[in-house]
Amino acid sequence: MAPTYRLAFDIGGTFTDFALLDTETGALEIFKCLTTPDDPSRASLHGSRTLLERAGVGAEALTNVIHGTTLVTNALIERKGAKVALLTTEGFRDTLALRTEQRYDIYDLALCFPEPLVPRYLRREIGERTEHTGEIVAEVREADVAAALARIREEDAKDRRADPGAPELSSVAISFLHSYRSPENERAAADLVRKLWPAADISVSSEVAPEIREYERTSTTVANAYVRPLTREYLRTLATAFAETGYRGRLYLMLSSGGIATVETVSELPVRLIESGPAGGAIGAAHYGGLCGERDLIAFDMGGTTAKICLIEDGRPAISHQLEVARVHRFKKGSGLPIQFPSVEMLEIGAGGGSVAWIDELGLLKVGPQSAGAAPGPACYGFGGTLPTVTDAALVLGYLDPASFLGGEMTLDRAAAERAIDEHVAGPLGVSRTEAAWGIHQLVVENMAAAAKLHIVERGGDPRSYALLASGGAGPIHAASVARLLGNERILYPLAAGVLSAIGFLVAPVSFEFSRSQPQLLDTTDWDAVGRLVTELEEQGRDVVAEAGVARADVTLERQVSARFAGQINEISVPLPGGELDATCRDEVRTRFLKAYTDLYGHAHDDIPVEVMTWRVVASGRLAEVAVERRSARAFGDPVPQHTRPAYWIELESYVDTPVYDRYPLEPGMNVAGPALVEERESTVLVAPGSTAVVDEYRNLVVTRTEAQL
Amino acid sequence: MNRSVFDDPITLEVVWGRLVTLADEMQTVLRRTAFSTVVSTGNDLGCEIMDARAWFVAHAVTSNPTFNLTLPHLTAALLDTFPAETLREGEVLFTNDPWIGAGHLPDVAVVTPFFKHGRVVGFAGSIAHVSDIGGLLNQSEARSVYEKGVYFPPLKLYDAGVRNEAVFSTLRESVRTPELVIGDINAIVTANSVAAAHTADLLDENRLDDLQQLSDAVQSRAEKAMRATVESIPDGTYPFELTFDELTLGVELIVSGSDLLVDYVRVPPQHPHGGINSTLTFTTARTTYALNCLLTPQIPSNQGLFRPVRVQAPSGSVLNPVHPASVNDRTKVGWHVIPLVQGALAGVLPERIPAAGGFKSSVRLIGTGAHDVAVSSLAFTGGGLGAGHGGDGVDAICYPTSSSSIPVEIYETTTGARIDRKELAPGTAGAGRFRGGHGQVVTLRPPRAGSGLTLAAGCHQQSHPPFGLAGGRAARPTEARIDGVAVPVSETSARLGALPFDAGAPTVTLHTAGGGGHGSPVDRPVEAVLRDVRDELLSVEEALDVYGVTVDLEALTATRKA
Repeated sequence: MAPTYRLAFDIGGTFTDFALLDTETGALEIFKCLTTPDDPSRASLHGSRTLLERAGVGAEALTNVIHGTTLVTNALIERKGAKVALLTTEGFRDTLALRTEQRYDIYDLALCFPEPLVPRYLRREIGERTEHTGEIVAEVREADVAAALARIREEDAKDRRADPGAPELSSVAISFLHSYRSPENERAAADLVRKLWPAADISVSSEVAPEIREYERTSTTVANAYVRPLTREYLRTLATAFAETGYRGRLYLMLSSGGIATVETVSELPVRLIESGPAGGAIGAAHYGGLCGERDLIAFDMGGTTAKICLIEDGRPAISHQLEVARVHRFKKGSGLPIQFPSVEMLEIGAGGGSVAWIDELGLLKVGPQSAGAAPGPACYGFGGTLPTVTDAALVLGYLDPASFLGGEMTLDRAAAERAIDEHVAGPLGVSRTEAAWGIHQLVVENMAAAAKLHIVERGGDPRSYALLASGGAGPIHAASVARLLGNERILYPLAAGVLSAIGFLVAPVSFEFSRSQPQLLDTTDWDAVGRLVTELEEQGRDVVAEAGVARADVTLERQVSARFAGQINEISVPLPGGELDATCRDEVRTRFLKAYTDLYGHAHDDIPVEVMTWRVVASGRLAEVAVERRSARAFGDPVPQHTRPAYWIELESYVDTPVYDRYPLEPGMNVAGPALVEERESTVLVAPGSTAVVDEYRNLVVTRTEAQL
Repeated sequence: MNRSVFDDPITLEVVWGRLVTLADEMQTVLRRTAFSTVVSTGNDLGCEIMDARAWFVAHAVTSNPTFNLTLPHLTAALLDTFPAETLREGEVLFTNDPWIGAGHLPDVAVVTPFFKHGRVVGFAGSIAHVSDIGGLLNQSEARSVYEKGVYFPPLKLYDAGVRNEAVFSTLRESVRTPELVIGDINAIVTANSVAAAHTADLLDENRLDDLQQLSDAVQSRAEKAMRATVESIPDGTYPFELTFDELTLGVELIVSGSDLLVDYVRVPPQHPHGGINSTLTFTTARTTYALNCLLTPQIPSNQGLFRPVRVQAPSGSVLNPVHPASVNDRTKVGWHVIPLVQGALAGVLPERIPAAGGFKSSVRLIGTGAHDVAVSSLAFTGGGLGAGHGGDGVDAICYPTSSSSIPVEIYETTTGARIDRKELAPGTAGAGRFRGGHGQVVTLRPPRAGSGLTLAAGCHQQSHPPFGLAGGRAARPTEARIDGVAVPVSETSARLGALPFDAGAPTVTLHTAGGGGHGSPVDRPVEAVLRDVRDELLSVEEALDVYGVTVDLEALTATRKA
């Protein structure tokens, strides 16, 4: 049989990353090229062809093509989506404008929130009403819907008369109160819109995100309506382009939840694509953690502007149902648009290689969140940046080689880095250059460790029980220090860290979640109704996954319910028992809830009723088993360093002439004792004094840390 | 001062940063383990770490500023009763005394000392608003603090690690929903002990004997920054007077070099009933909060920051009442010190001071809801923020606290009551070159089937709306309605203080105040006027009358007469 391959690519803002897997041998080929923002399919095809040529096969050898894209996120951030109108319940026209009414910064009296995706004049009310019990007390009347649509189209016509270049409105979102409970009124309204305005693209909240909390549900539905037209167009173009290469299979996309789905599914619910790249990174990290025997992992990705942290627990990324995009203040929670659907939980911190060091009003050193980005970039890039950044500090501390950065493609200007640090940090603070550079390194690491620690505490965990996995251009340089602060014993540096997301796409299962809120007290739950609801969700899930090419019998289903003590505002997720759901489940669900609650908060309450809120089903299945090439360890002995250079080690409180290794010739079984530097194309792994690095059979570098003598 | 490792600004930033993280962690633990929604979602809490002198060094970034600024004073008062040198491991101090704490009984305070070599080296302290503290249902009828609920003077909640059962059994018999209240207090004890243990570790890791050197370094830098700011204001007396809800308060801000005296003058005597009296601790906390927002919004608040500031108000007045005044609704008066300070500074710092903001209103529902579940719900409805010199005020936001609203769907599900509408209220924003934020209108309807609920509404700014600045107009004031009929200010507390809210009860509607405008309305860009008219937040007539702009909604044009 001819060899077959899986291809994955991640279209990022700057680069598109590719990975090609030989399904037979597990051999992996990777590639990176610049993204072509005007038509992303160009770079996609270029990279795909390059890898296929390397493998010496044509596109017909591909069994699956999976990709992820920043398209949806960028459309929301840059406000480049469609013009949308919204139909709401009478009296609730401003749900999008009222938000949660919480201030994201209590000392800032000049707060600024994102404009709602639908302006008020296009938000129209319908005289309908469903009670929280699901009872419909006012039905949708055709005349109301007709009047609302007429008004919307009239307003749109006015816009286009006033500005002939303005886009035409064709996307309508519908979000009524309590529609998660009884979707009838929304469906009736959608039917009327379809009848009265056949060309309209309709997003209905009870289909997009049928969960309780009107602001989050409406925001999600409107975001879906906002990005659907352009996503459809993009996916059509890409599918056509791939068909022309001779690829005969289906196109899959990575969802924010860490599962993949078909183009057809995604075209309906494109809003689920928002975090596809980072979700791939988390799945990739979990995959490498599994290879190294670490099922509990902090995936730590540090790039030019931000660091992202994701927890992997028992081999799976933590999932959250609350996501926020397009923040006005990137690192201030509450200043963006909430999106309510399953998403890999990602903590983003304003700490990257380009983060700028500055002195605050109290005369103290701060690092970030402002970033010099790629332009003007760190001072040492020589692109005109004069402010000291984290990368400049790494250069001064000897962690980067001015001559071999990016495999020697770019020379770093050490003198410029020194100048920036002297002028803006060392001078004003009255400290030495080394102290200043170490201070920058130390602070950026403190910021990341503090955020990670809080995040873990919030989830009821202990940071010390995790291993750390480093990726991103700045990740390997800072991982050792982050691990020291968090108390992680092992640090993993995967070989293909540069294309971690694409690797995640290759190994991710097909997976899709369906959910519906139906709040009720556990003690009086109508289990027949719940059983029907869950079965319905399972059927939906099975259909979607089977349609993607998984045999129906191989689809696995996971059920969950979110629950809380009656009277509380926030829920936690509890796994539901399998089999038939009936009244005998009550005690089991209570026991599981109490256990989950105690795990998180350390205690539970015996005497307060439990309320069950949202029922969820995750359906998943694998298109194929994925194995990665492994080489057995051979007794090579210790590798020979290429050269040495002075690097600063806090453990020794001085610069030490440190051996430098090239990562790529290192073979399984080799050991490197700290202090040492292991250079990669885009970064450097720091092996601290007292730590040891071992190359494993997948050629990952695994550092075991011993407690530093600080 | 002696040489200290914290003379090095990098070491200071690192260790201080770690301490702030510990305070954040403390808040996280408290919010996650608390039971009542006021704490867990409303975020009505404060957590901080203090040195052995009870000076505060770090507080959780998003905790309630009133509580942060109250805790050092409160801890010092606890130490008057229980001197530091007598404290032993396993002791936890407790009080809800309004005069030393946050100004009303539901705000309970827990202070946990931590030790090194047998000596107190610091405190972890928290204040949280528990869901009930007993007393009258209609708090506005109370004539003294005796009618407000259980009052715990400074006492030991734990002694030698053993729980003081007297406190817990008293609570169990004195408050509604005791399991929530006791649950919250346990959560505070847990959060404090986690922070105390971790701070002790931090001292060990950094080879420090106590927090004093760190505290001195932080406070002196903050003090220096505030002094520089105050010094930039010309010396002089800046008076301002504000009338609201039948009261008039006067303030004189006196700048002298780098010192700032906030002197509340012409303050009415303490009120005999209604609980509107604001203890000096609350008055001071609110005043320094306002100064922090207006003068140094980028500097994390700490005690040194306010060392150049003195706050005084006549004893026996609504801003400094004496025991046993009733104080439960202290925000009714206490919040108004913020616009007072704004008004006083507006003339001398016109580019920094925004117009007055609309305060949030509250609705408390207490009793029994659907399925006989106990309901104790406190929901907030935000007003509009005041406009600044650079932008419109934000619409509908919980100000001046750190809380949030409750989703309508969750509210209806939890309480059984029904919300008929909740939307922006057109015309509520103060006009100006930059307009204020809009207030909102919310209508509540009782449950359809019988249940035993009582509703208590809390409103501010009913008779005198938030003011505008620099030619900007005032906003529209808060208004309460019963079955659509406006309730006069003078009758609000009587009629909405404890309204039975069973099936058949009338609807209650609140219109929250907008924010004041900034700059003259005739300078507002015509496109901005057109947008508000098109969005049906401003009428065509108002656009012409107030802004001088003729709007043509057909052609989408707006023109201003020259």
